[in-house]
Amino acid sequence: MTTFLVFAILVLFFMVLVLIAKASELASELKDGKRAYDNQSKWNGYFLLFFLVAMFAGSAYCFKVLMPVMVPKAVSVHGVKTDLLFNTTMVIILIVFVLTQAALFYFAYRYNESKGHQAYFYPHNNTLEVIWTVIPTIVLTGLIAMGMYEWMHMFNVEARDKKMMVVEVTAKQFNWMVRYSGKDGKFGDRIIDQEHITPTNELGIDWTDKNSHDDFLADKIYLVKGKPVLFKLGAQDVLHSFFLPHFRVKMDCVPGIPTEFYVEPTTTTVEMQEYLSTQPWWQTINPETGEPRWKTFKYELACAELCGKSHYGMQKEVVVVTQQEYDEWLSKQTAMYESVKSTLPEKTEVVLASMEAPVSEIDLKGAAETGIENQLIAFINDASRPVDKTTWFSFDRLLFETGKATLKAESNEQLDNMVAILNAHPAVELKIGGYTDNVGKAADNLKLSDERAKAVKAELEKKGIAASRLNAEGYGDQFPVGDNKTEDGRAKNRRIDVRVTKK
Amino acid sequence: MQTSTVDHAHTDTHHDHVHGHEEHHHEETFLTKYIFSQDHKMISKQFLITGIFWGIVGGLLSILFRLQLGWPNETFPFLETFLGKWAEGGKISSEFYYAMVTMHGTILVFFVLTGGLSGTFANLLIPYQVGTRDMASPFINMLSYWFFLGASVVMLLSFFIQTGPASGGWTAYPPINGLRDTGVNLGSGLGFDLWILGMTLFICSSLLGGLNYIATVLNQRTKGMSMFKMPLTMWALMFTAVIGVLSFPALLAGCVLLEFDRLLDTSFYLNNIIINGQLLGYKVVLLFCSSTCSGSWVTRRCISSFYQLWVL
Repeated sequence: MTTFLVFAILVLFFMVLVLIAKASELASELKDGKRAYDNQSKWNGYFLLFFLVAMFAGSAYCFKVLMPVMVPKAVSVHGVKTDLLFNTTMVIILIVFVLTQAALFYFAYRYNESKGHQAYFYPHNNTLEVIWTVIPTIVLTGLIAMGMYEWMHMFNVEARDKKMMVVEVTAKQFNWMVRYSGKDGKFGDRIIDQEHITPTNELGIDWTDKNSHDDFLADKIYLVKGKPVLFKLGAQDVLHSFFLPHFRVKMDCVPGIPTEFYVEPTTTTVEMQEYLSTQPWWQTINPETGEPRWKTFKYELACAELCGKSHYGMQKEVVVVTQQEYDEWLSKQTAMYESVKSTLPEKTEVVLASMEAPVSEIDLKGAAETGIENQLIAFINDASRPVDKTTWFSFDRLLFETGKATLKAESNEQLDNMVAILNAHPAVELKIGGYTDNVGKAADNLKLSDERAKAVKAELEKKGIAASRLNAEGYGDQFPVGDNKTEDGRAKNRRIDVRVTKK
Repeated sequence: MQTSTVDHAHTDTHHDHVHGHEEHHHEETFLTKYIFSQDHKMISKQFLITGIFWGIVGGLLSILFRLQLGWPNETFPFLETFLGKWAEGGKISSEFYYAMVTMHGTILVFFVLTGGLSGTFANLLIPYQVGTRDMASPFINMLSYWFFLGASVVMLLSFFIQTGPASGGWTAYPPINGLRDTGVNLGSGLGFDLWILGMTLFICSSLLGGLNYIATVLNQRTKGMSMFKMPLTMWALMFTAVIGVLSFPALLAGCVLLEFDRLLDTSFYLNNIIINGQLLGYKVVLLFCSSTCSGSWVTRRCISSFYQLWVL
């Protein structure tokens, strides 16, 4: 309350001062008959001139004091070019700023109002207008062209190094989850649904995908000097922004829209510290640590999009090291799978257990542990998994001649295995589905997939399975399981599936 | 009515005659002259005063949060005196810090620069510089101010509710502002509802004002003043109004859809996001598919950048 009263008294005191000044002005006007503002415009002119000098001095002072404190030199390949672009723009703007402001304030001083002086009326000049339109247009176009050029380089997918590292960064309130793909260089699939997103598996990693078994979460982002890295960015809840100021990287993380940024670090953390130890401001003592500032220097990842109350705390350390140090660090990381293995839902284990038992009973040739044969047997034996229309199994060693519905000889082994399984489980009936990728006409695809499914059915019948137990249908390019944009995905989509219709 | 006023304006007798049918013309009451005024000069003063008020509020907010930013480890006991629970122990809470940043942005961009400046100078200068007695529609001009005042009252009110004003940034991006969940963001509760209501009123005000400015500049220039003889200020004010009229309705539509998401469980901006471990998928699917989500978001982002670039 006292604070409030003091504040109110100050405000009132200020208002009284203003009113007294105003009253004395009016009084002198009445007494001398002199206009109060006669001298004012002259004084205004002086003040404006003074302001001009003070403003320039202030700007120069800010440059001098703040430049050394700013984020130091860029440590990425594209960052150096970004800085050049930034500095070019800055210099041009600075020149224009000094010239126009100097002219503005000087004119206000030089041509201030004085008695008997008539303003010169100068309404129009085409030449001038053309000049001040054309020059900025050219300069700005140049700057934009430079920017576009750099931008196209930064996001040129073709120019990327094939050996680049890939780091997946997922943002959520309020931390960053940084996933490395481990030794195999492949990320395990993620499934974003209520079943997979759990407190122990915040990313929704599909543990049945073997690629996920060596993926690990890193508490710091480790990068290798000279080795390009592609950050694959995403967010789970609200918008975040992936900001690496030292690398001149900033990219939004948007739920549902994947983004990415390709960057090549050029300086290790240690090298950067060495460089900074030669810089005056970085040599000063940090009162919090009692050491020179350069000693505690770290690259930092921060969030640059307001994302809630702890937005300011969304930071992570970035460490740039040599390949050797990186490998050493890599070998110390433990895969996420190791810690969640024991907590995986029982259902998965039941499947695994039942998978093993019947293998020895039926003579399967060359069947992989996770191949269609064992998946099918596990399904048939597991009473808790009902017959439905969505559980399909894909043949993995069934090959057709390109564009035709003729089975290649290599397919025989897997077909024989299927026959063995069907003979061991006489109650089981199957539906065979044919699928293609989305290349070519949809109608042709549909026809081909149908012919292929029927060819498989005919082959099984030939090997002694009753026609009544089998059904076949083609689905064309519907129900893709892989991404039709990549060759891998298209290969996955060209397939024959089976579904148990009775067991 | 307006046309005949202009036609006969050169003779006082006709002028009086024409206005004789209108009530309160010669004996204006305090209410019609200062409060519900249809005079462009008075309306411009009303905008000026409201704009200055907002300028002070917005400036004060920026002083407060910069105090915190500049001296993050200091405590300022007087802040607790003024802000109470938002600055316990003399330190501004992170939630209120972001609320102040958000409201500072909103106030400065919309209520000072757009409402305050454009409202004041367009209203004052357009009739003077194109040479007409008043705006094309003085009544709509009055409505424009009153919508602005309504918006101001709602925005100001939002400071005094329990969960505080909007705190998800003045750009109001979903999903943080699309969830009516104070657990995600304190200001996304009632504070953001009030924000949207305030913005809706503000946009109404801007549209009414803008259409009026455009109509006046296009139709009511004095004899002999072609568009190219018009002062540069008029061109500037007209283009400001044109850009406002083009972009504000889109912003309004975006805001209304966002409020649908918040109150009616629709899914224009929200789909497949994980909040507190819960996956929020489709709730109610209206005519739009999920791609509308990203689409509208991008549109809104473009519009806001466009607006920042060209109007302000």
